[in-house]
Amino acid sequence: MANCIKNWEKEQARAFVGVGLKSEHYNEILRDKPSLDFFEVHAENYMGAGGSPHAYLEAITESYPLSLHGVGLSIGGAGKLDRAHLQRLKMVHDRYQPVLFSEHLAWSTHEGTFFNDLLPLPYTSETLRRVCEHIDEVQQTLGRQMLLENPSTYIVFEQSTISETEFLSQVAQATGCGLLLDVNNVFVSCTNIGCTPEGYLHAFPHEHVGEMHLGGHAEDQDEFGSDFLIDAHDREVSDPVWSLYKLAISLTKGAPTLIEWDNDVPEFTRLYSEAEAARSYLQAFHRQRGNRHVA
Amino acid sequence: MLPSVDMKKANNSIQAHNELQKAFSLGLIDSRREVPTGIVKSRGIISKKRFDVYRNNVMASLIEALAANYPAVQKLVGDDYFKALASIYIYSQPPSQPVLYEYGESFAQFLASFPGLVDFPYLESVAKLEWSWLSSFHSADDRSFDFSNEENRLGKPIGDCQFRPTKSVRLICCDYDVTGAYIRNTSANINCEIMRLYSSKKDEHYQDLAVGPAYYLFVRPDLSPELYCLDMAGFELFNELVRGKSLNEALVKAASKSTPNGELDAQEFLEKLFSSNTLVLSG
Repeated sequence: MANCIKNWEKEQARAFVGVGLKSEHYNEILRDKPSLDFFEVHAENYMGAGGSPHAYLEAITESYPLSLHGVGLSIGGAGKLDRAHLQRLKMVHDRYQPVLFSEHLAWSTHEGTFFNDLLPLPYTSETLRRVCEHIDEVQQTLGRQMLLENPSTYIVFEQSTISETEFLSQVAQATGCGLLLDVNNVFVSCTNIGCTPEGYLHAFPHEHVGEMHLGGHAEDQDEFGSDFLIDAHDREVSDPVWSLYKLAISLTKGAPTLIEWDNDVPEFTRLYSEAEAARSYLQAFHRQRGNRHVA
Repeated sequence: MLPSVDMKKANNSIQAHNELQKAFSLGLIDSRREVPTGIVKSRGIISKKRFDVYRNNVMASLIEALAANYPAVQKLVGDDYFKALASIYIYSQPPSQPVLYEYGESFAQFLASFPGLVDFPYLESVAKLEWSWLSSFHSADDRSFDFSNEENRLGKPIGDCQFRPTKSVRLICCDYDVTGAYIRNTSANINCEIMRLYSSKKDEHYQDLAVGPAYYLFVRPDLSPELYCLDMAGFELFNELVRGKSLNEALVKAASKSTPNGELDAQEFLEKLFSSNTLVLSG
């Protein structure tokens, strides 16, 4: 594990590609040792005291670096963070010492009820302050920098006074956190609220990006006959998202990339081929960059 | 560094943020409510269908989480009935924290008191087994007493020693013997054995579905919890060990507190006990 981290820090200039780790794939991964640079897990799935989840994750992290992705902190919540949950997160974090830790610009808990979804918040100076306070608390508790992920959204708040990209930029500057750029979320949100994904990407504070996510989305139509997209994580990455990813690679200088596929989990080979596709885009970028430097 | 702020204004705004999330939360769990004020598809246009994406995500994902924790109950009542049942449970007892394999502890009790299930009282027992399996599955790793290697190091007769159950042991008393129904319908592959302090010929097979009481023990020797069907005496023996009694004391107490059914077979029971990774030497 220690060597994995060392290499990770040394070799940021190459294509780093990972996939979300699913229990359905544990045995195949341990048997075949696929050529991947890291795995990412949802922290909440490893908060039990022992048993199978930890046995497999211990075995897999012997060979691969780990990225820890929280889905339950409710960083965008109006209330205080759940201290007990944060402590459980710290235990998982300290046990596995992941190379990356990320969470979402969203909320999921309100007044003691956990909703199990990544819910949106208005962007105002007050919510900015609240989010910054929460990120400070997380980073202090874990003793490390975290990455904050841009959400996918289906609605907007009339109360918002700040754009999402400006909000993320101010959070990163105020707290020193990095950002996780979810390219599929950019495409989903921009389609849903009627802005151009390329414009969003150019406005995104890409100098803070430490990781990118790619995933699949579903299509639907609202009661006005307008098409909208749902961040479903249940299929292959769509062609427009791959195109957007190319722009994201050049803006972020090829940040490590993860394929997310959480629902209707496919055979491992199908997931792996998505990772290989991402790798080929990243490698093309690094080759071009290398050529430019040589020239 | 956080931006400086007028605290009075900030407190009012935090309250506004809190009120908005409260309205959003109430809208999530009650689909009859209007979309909360200020939430639009684009300027001035309210789209219920888009807000419903969040409503559906919340309810569908929580039903899925409950079904993952109670696969046998789901199979026994059928998918559609389970969805309706789970929705009512979720509405009345939503999760309070994000670790969802710890959600639904009171589901067995809910099933027992649900008017529509009055003709299926055994479901509570199935749910109790499912919850115990889940809890054993995620329990802390623990090493049991190795009788074959450690007996010589005890320094006293084994009957005078105290033992505690390993951390994965779960003892369950059910109103119904649902062993067969549970094993057939759960999604886990469960190894099941009969372990009785008093054994009789008719006890050699486990019941499919019968009025109880029935006594069970889950233990996780490695990664998968295993199920043991105990008799009342065997169950009491474990309870006495948990209370700190020596093995001999526990055996005597267990026999006196139970109604024996068949021949006492302590030798075979103890052999099974020590080969099933259930006990740790504690004194």
